[in-house]
Parts: sequence; C-alpha cells; structure tokens
Amino acid sequence: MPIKTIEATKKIIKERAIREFFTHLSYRKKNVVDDLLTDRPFDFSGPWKTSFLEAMRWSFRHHYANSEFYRSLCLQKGFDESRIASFEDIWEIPFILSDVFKMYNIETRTGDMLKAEMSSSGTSGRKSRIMLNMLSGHRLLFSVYHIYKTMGLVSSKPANYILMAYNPAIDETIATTNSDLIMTYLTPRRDVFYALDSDKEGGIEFLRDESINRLRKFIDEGLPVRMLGFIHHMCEVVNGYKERYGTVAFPADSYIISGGGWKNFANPYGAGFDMFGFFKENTNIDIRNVRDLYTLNEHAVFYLECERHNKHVPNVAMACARDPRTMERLGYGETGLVHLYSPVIESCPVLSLLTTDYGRVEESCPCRIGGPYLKIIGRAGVTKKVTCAFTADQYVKEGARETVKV
Amino acid sequence: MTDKKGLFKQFIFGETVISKESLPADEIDKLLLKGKKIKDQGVVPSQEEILAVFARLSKAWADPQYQRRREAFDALSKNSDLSPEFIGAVLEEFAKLLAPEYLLHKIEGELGNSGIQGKPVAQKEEDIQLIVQPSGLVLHVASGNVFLACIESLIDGVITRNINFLKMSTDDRDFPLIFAESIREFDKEGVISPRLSVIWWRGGDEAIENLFKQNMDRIVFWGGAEALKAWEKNLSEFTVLIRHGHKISFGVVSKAGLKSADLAAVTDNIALDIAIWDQKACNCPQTLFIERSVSDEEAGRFIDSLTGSLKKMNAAFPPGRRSDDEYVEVMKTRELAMAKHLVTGEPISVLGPKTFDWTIIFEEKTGGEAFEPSPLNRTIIIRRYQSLDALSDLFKNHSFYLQTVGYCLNSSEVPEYAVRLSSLGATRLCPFGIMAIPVAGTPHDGGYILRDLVRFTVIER
Repeated sequence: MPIKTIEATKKIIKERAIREFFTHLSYRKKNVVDDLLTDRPFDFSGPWKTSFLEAMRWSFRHHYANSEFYRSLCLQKGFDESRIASFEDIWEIPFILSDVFKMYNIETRTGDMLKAEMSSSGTSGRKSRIMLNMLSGHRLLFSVYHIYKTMGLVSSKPANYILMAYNPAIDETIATTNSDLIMTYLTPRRDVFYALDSDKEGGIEFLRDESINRLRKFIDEGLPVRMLGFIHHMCEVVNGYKERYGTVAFPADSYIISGGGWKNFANPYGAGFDMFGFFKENTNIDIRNVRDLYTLNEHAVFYLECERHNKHVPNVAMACARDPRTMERLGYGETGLVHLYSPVIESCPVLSLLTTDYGRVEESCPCRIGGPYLKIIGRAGVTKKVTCAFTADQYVKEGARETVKV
Repeated sequence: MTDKKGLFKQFIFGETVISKESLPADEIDKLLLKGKKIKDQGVVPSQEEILAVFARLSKAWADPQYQRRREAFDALSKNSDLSPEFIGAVLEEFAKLLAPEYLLHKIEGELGNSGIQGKPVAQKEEDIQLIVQPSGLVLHVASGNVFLACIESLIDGVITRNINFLKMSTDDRDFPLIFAESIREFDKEGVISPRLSVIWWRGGDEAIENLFKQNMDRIVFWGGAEALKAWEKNLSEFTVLIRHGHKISFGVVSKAGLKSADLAAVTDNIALDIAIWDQKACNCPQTLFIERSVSDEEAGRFIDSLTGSLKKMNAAFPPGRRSDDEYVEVMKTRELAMAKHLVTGEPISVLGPKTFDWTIIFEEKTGGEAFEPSPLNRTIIIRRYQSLDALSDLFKNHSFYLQTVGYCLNSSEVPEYAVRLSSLGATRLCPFGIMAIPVAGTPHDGGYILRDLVRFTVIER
C-alpha cells in the first residue's frame, strides 16, 4: 500500500474509532483486560483485585509472547509469568523507562494490520512514539469517557472548545492533541478552535490573538466554554483577554482542563506557578472547574483531578512511587519516581512504566469519588548543580534545534 | 557562611565581617572603591614577601591537628557532597599546593622565569627584557563542584600580586573563609590579607555583578554554561573575562598501550580519574575509547579489571552525596543502554551495583557514533574506536569543549595521538591517574592561568 494511502487510512481509522465509539459508547470486548473496563472507573471494591491481577497476568503473557524487546528484558531480569502469583507481585513486573520510547519504537504484535501512531508533544526535546491498535484505542476511549462521566464532566449541553494544542493538520499523531480531541466528544460540540498551528517556515505558531478573539466570540455566544491543553498558552490567552476586555467572564458550566507537555514552557507559568490562583484572579470560573490532567503518551490512562484537585488513579491502573536511590517501592505519601501499571494497551509493552516524574500516591481522597490519587511534583533528572564538566543537558542544548516556536 | 545564630560571615580586606545578610550593591560599591584605592596607591608586595607567608601556611596545613584544617574538614564534610574520606585525602595534599617551591615552580613554568615579577629579566633575544606586573583588581568566581579550584585560583591571584576578590559558590561558603582567615593568621605583616576579600552574593544579582564587570581588571570564571553567559554580558572595555567554562575529557586505550601496560595499575589509575571529585571536574573522563583491534578477550579482561578497580576505589573513597536527580540520570543512562542492547542486539554490558555507586557501560562493538557525555557520578561509557581518524571524527563537533585526554598508549604512539588530538582541540594529554591532578606550571584550558592575571611589559634597547 502506498505510504500516503497508509497514512490516510491511519487517520481515518483514528477518527472513525473516536466517532464510532462516541456514537455507541461501547466496543467489542476481547479478554479479561476488558473485564476491568466498566462504567465505575474508581470502584476498587469486591473482586477488583482479582480482576486486575488476572488482567495484568494476561497482559504480561501477551507482551512476553509478542514483544521480543519485553521478553528479552524479562529474561534478563529472570522474570516470567510464574512470578505473578498474587496481587502484590504486580509491583515486581519489570518496567520500561518512559524515556526509552523517546529513543526507540517498541511494539507488541497484535495481528492488527494498521495501528495509530501516538507521539508526545516533545516539549522537553525528544518525542516519544507508541503504536495503538484499535482495541487499545477503544479501551482508552471507554476509560476516558467513564472517568469524565464519573467526575461530572460529561454533559448533553453543547459547548465551545478552545484547544491549546496542535492542530491535527500539523501532526495528527500528537497525543495531547488526541486527548484534547477526545475530550471534545464529552459534550455536543458547537465549535472547536486549535490555538497552535503551523507557520510559514514549517514551525509551530501560537495563535494568541485569534484565540483571544475566539474566546470573546464564545463568551458572547453564552454556551459553556471548555479550554483544554497547555497551561502556558491558556494563561497567555487569559492575560491577553483581560488586557482587552477585562476579567474573563466564562459562561456557566465552563471548564479549564490543563495538561500535556508538563510545564516545560517554564516561566512564568512553570513549576511553582499557582494555576488556581491565576484563574481565580483573572476569571470568574469556579475553581472546582479548573482541573489538571496527568497522562503520558506511553500510558493510555487519564489521571484527572477531582474537585479537590487530586489526580485520581482509575481502576484500570495502579501507581506507586519509587525511591530513585534504590528503586524500592515507597509507601503512600512518600515522594519518588512515579511508576504506573496498566494492562489496557495491547500493541506496546507498557504494562509497567517507570516515568521520570516525581510524585507520590496518596491512599484515599476525601472527595465523593474516594480512592487513591497522585500528586505530581515535577520532572526528574538533569541536575541543576553548577559543574565545569560538560553535562548531558548541555549536550542536548548544544545540539538541539528549536523546532517549536511559542 | 552563616553561623548558628544565622549571621553571615565574610572576609573583607583582612577583616572578618559578620552581618545579617550578604552585602547590598551599595556596600559592594564601597568595597570596590577601597580596592581601587589600594591599587592606586601602587604599593605591591614582593614575591618574596608573599611566598614567606605561604611557607608558614604550608607548614601549618601539613599538620592534621591544625585547627583550621580540622574546621575545613568539618565544614566540607557537612556542606560539600563529597565523602569525608575524599575530603580528608584532599586536605592531606593541600599543604603541598601552598609550598613556596611548588609556587615558584608554577611561576617559572607559567611566566617563564621565577624572578620576573617586578624585575626586568633578559630574554634570549639580545637587548630584550621582560617585566611582569599584576593586572590589578581580580575577581574569582567559584564553582561548587571542586572546592579546591577557587582556592587555587585565589592563590594564583595572590602570587601574581593582584588585589583579589573571591565570590564564593553557594555550595561552599566555608572553606574559602577558613582559608582567608588562615592567611591572616600567618600574615602579621599584612602582605596578603589586606588585599583580599572573600564574599558571597546570590549568583545572578545584576546590580552587584555589573559593579564587578565595570570595575575589575580581570574576572576569572569557573563553572557552567549558563552562569558563564551571564558573566559575558555588560563587561567594561577594560575588563578581561577569563573563561574556564564547561569542558569535556575522555580516555583512550590502544592495543599497543594495553599490551605494554600493567593492566591492574592502568585500571586503578582510570578508576581514580573517574572517582576523583565524583567525576564532576572538567578533567575527569566521561568516556573511554578502546581500540577496536584489542581482542574481545583482552577487552573483557580490561573491563573485569576496571570493575575490580572501581570496587576498590569505592571502598577507599566512597561516593559522596547525590541529589535524587543525579540518581535518576544514572538510572536513565543504564536503562537506555540496556534498551539499546535489546533493540539493536548490539552487545552492551551495563555493570555496577544497585546502589548506583559506579557504572560501566561497555558498548563492545559500537564505533563511529556521536559522542555522548556521561551523567557523571562515576559513570563511564566505554566504546571502541577503529582508528585515530575515526576517534578524531567523533569529536570534531565538540572541539571547543575538549580538555584532557587520559591515555594508555605505547610511548611511540603518544606523539601521533598528541598531534591529532591537540589539533582537534584537546588541551592536555596525560597518562591515566593524573587527569584531575595537572602538573604545576603547565597550561590549563589551553592557556597559562598566571599569564592571564598579569601584564607583560617588554623593554627594548
């Protein structure tokens, strides 16, 4: 099949998958992993532990059999399925470091002819890439839909969307674009505007003024507005709007959902930035409707904040923090590297993924949803200590070419 | 330095000054005016007077019971990330750096004649004499990774008879003060200490830094890239910035070199070069290149021996404290190397304890790939090189950053390697074991540090 046709087909598959899923809100279930996917995404009661164990065991067996990379990794660590005897053994399943996906395309055979490529936004330098088959995509959509529904973000009232994300016309593989796009299906869509587009030189242009104009138009229309994506750009739009028109008076039931690209656009909206204070000061939005979303391209699970701003772990996943000095698993409330487990992706061996983000897992949120949640502290690695030795981060800076203009 | 009451200690022209916080810009301005006044008075101590003070200092610091040496040990053990064992070993050697004979050797090596400061010295050419004068006001900007570097820089400034200011690193605000007070203790005649200030302010304070940029004759910078960029801005036309920015060093092991060497001794020396300063000095190797013609068996023996040497080094000089980020960087390097092995099938060994104390990544077949720096903290990446040409190609895009090349070569190979690698940008070649311990009187970063701190005047007849 000619490459252009393959690319076009991939796109059709992805768009069709999203559209079809949101038409029926269901998909054809295949194995024990799908038993985990219910309309109660935060229900850890009853047989959940057994179901999760079975799903992880199935997932391990599948990736071990169909990913040479993962099998070799496990063989090297002397780990096979017999080691997953109890629920607690799940924590020992060999991990792949998320950065590995920035260097290599690693897949698991599924028998699917075509898969959709998903890439990270690459705001920290390199993009990670994974392939999603249709089943994994459907699981992702199902899970996302029910997470948002349980959190009260699914509505039958139409909304206008401003996506601080790349226009899919630039690169339809980018995960943040896709996750933001998925979120536009959680209500009937009136209008969708992408704030990042390609410029004449082939770079990325932030359409700040157009975004402000569009926000004004949406506010005048009076339908709920949902602003999704990179926090840096949201704040820029809010600041620009305020300069022109005063405080942003969002219509009722509007939402701001930040996520993607970590906080790499840095100052003035980087680590330590008080996002909630900013929106409280510059808009009329109910802060309970400002949510941050933690998700990774390599891990098709959404950790969405509840009204108390805690990122809930859904029951298709498990999370722990690991001590970066020993790799030992830490207890609730202890900060370390975030380690995520989920069996939902079939086409890539990411059932056990060690991230390079610092965070901690708390046991139980006092909100109505309850259950464990994540607190993400920041990106790990690349020490800021002053040294006269040429360091890796310097090497990246010396060699890196700026491709994204913001 | 802050004491138990949270008071702030600095050393200003021979006086210990205690304040609630670091000096504001207007106080720094006064400090610099005073420095200028001293310079304008034109009274410069003789080299003999200076070395007499150093003789007394050297004798004191050679004594393990010397109170200030003990204070320095305690302070560095508490504040620096290095292990007490390593700090103790450095302080054991410190007295040698203060000895007049060492300093004279340095002056002679770098300035061409040990008697040239303030006195005309005849040159080889007939009727030509040279005389060396101090440049005037010198600021030394310290980096935090090698606590001795700023002290040596300060000593260079002192022996070239300048008026010196040392900006302490945030990571070490004790040892320079202890050393300054030690100078005062043995400088009853006031030869050095009234011309010396050791201060601290938070790096990046433009008001303060601009004052120095406008008033110094020389600024000697030690440290990383970002800070260097800041110091390069707004310099007056009279101020010379001496840049000792970030650099990279590596090692090379040839087949002939390995054949003629005592393997255990070589790997012990390499382990020392890797472990010293926990690899954070610019002259520590980040990568080792082994000639491809070294057989797999020989290379295997080399790796085994290096593993043993790093273990021994670890026992004698345990690694210092590291931040979580540093651990993550080492872990990432290990994981990515393992992934490369699994994806490409290339034989790559990742060796090292679970505690990340040291790491060897041996890419047994890799060659001709872009050079990659290590995450430091005793992490050595070992690769093959096909030929000297191929090795040179690896570094051609990094020539500005090249510094020391440690070698295990046959003596007949050294000249060829030296010519090629020096033309590429390397500023020093030396056998393993002394990569971070350069010989006195030799250039650093391609130039003579003392020459940067003085003015030469030629007298023709």
